[in-house]
Amino acid sequence: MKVQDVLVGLFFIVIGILMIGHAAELKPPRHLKFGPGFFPLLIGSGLIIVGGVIALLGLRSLRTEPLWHRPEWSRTRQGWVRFCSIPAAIALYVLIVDAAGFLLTAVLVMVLVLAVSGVPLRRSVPAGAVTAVVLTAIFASVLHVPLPWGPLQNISGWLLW
Amino acid sequence: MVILTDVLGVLLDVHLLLVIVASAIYGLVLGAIPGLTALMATALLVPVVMFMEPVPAIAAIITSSAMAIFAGDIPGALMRMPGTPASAAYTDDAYSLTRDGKAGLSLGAGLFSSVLGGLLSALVLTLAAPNLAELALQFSSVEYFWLTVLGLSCATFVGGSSLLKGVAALLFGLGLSTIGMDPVSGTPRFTFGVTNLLGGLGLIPLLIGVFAISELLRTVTLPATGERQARPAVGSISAGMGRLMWHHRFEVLRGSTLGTLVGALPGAGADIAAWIAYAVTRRSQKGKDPNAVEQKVQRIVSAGAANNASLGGAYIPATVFGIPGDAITAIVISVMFLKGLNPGPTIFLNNPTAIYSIFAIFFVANILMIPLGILCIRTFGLILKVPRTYLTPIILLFCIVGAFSVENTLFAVGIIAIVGLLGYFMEANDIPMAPAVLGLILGPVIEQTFMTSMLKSGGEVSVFFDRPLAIALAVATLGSWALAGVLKLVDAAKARPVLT
Amino acid sequence: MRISVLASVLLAFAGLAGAAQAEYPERPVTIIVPAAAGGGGDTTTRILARELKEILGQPITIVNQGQGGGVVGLTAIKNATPDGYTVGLLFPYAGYKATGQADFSAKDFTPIANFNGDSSSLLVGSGSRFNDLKTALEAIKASPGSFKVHCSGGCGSVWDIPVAGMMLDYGIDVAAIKWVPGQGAAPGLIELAAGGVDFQTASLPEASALMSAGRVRPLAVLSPEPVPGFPNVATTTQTIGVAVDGGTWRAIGGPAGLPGDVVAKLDAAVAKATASAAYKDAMAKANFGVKYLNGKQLEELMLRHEKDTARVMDALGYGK
Repeated sequence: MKVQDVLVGLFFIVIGILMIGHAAELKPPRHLKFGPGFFPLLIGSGLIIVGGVIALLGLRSLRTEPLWHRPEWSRTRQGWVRFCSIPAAIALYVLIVDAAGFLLTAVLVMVLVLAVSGVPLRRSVPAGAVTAVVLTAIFASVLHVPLPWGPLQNISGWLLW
Repeated sequence: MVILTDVLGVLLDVHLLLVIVASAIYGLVLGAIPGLTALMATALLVPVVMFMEPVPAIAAIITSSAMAIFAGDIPGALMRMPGTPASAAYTDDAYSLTRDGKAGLSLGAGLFSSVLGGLLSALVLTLAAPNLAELALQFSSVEYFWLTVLGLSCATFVGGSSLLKGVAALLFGLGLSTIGMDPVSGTPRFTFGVTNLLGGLGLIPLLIGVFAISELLRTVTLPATGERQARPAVGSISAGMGRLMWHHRFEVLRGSTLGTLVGALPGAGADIAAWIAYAVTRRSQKGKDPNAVEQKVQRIVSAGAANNASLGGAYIPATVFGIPGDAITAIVISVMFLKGLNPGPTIFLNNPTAIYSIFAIFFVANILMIPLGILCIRTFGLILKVPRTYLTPIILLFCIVGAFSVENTLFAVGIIAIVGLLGYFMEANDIPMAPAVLGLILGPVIEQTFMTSMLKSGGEVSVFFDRPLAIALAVATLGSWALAGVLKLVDAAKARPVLT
Repeated sequence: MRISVLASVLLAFAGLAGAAQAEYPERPVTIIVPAAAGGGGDTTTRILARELKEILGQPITIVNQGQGGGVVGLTAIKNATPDGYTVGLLFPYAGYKATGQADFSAKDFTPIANFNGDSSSLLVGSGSRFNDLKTALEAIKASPGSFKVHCSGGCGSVWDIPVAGMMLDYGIDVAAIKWVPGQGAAPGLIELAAGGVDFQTASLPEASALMSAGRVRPLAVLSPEPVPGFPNVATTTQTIGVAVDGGTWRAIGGPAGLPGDVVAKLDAAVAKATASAAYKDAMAKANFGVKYLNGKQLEELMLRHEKDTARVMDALGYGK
């Protein structure tokens, strides 16, 4: 989504104000002259200034440009579903991986993203299963990345090489 | 001469050669997959190498990290997703060459400049490690401060069309880097009581989000008809490369020198080396069309040489003083200690065979990179034949595993989603990513060196100008700013009559 | 449909394995290391884990969580399920409290066994005018405000607290000294060699490379006896006549409420591991000190550590 420069500038100004607000609450510990709030204060001030200039320059074209410009994909529901499938898949992973284990979660992530692209289950489930098993074998079994085993935890000793 | 034959004896061991080849393949595969990084490749090797013989153990780390840094170019050039953050600086240049049907040129330039950068830094390492390490010991927090500020000013050269938005992006990156414990007093900032935020957002998850997830978001929203075009024929990789490298010898030399020096400084690694070499080369192209093939290749060659050269550079302080230049050499040092191969100047006297064998492995690994690199590029070309529909969720899973394995928290996995969305919207609004990344990496170093210096001086700003080396660096930094300002004014003065 | 089939197969597997009742541990044990790969905490734990794997007969998974100076990892240990399958590396933790990062106490953990200890030392650059601890301490006592001491890591942690405690006992106004925090021993040593600070607190193995290069010198080590590998470094007893024992300790601990039989089993395993020749050799080669303490002794050590840290941090002026 492309927004008008006035909004871009305002975004940076808001971030800058929030930073300064938080920085003011940070007290320098002991006898330090410059405390933990000093750098956030500098950066926040910089953001307000630069954001202000961006917004001012954006004012020139405010009349001729729309406030925001929706990209091509966002005009269809399908486009939205595709766009959201990526963050949704990551969220799904974070939420269920500890309980369900990596194998099952990886299959679900694959199936979810593939389903959005119109791949039927009879193809996406085997593809997901193969990917999940290969990733588990490489990263969990050989390279010992502590991916959660979920229901397989009790026999995970056999699965670590 | 006795040492030379001893070193050859060590190198000709079949077991060692097997280790080198195996870790080369391992490094190439991990480096070529977006979401998996050179640091991850090394960190995952730790349990394996810790209990191996010292020379094969360190050979495995050297080879896999060098291969991973090069292999990061491959998905960068073919899919616009850098395999490792070190390739991010020139991903857009490399990808645009690929879209013009010059994938072979782009990847060949990346491969051969990586090899040359690696070899040149290995040469410096072998011949001058003790002398260069001596220089690194002259740096107190004040000198580091000036050096980092100098690095930050590179942001203006990698920032894309709008200087203003580049500065905004830089500040935004610096702002994100302040999340977590403040580097001096340890006071939590912007953490809102969340324990996971104490350590900040984590550099690797951030980079995975910015470079890989945001690109995945762009890919899934592309119209399906675009799929056919995104399958480039790579063509010949090695043809004419000798001539090309000779033609760009100054860029190779510049990249290798910068890379070796940046690598030798603790705190900065391959990614910073590539950005700086890129920025310096970009600046030297003033007045020429930055979008011409010649200029793109120059930047790829220079930055490609720099990121591989920085690996060798990092071993200078590591072997001479036991001081890690980056997270990878931190692991190397602990492996050396574990083997009784204690780093320090005495290692050159007590154990010359071992240390020079380690240096020699740099040469072996970089030469091996030519055939294995070409093989890897070819194989990767085959992977691109997999329909994009299937590639997207597979890369997504790699990103998740990559972020998790470096930080070992699910929090890091969540970060890649949020930062990926952020990166997508920044790119859509012409806010350049490069300065933000530079700010993210250098922010903590600047703050820490500034605060430490002020702490030492009791708040006197004069501390930044009271050592000869500090003054020299200060003059260089402030001078380059003044020069940039003057050049901008001159440009503006020249441009005005044309406009009106 | 297929997913549910897959899930039920997985569950069946799990049930099968669970049914075979056996003694702890029946599956891999995870050790959370609140430090990045490659540091002292990581290296020593891996050396120990190699022996534990043989003794317990199960793979040991090491999980590095070094974010936030160790707070993230320690929190993960504290919040782990107390079943003995997730334990972690404990090390001096009381310093986090004064800086407001976290508030850990011995109650949050089940102490199992200590396996390593390294003494802190006071170092100077090669150009320093001080040759022994006594003259240095006298000079600091006379004008504490004119000296800069590098803490290696963040101030208020493993290396500087024992040194500050020793200075406090010597009658020095420690709050007036400029304590300089850093990102670890190695960058601090550069700072020391470059003349950016006057003193540094670190362990001897960390400084050994620069010591052999003649760029830094140890004034004294805070140990009752000379440290193995560094027989020529003076102890505090030899220079100021006071036996000081201060530095880091590394121990295996679990979340609070670990079952007694699990603790006993793990403690016995650590005892056996630390007594093994392979462990001692590997630790000696890498310059790490071996120090075994059982759970009870470890708990006393932790309580003493909390009290000492609170006393020194108070004198340093934290939390005011």
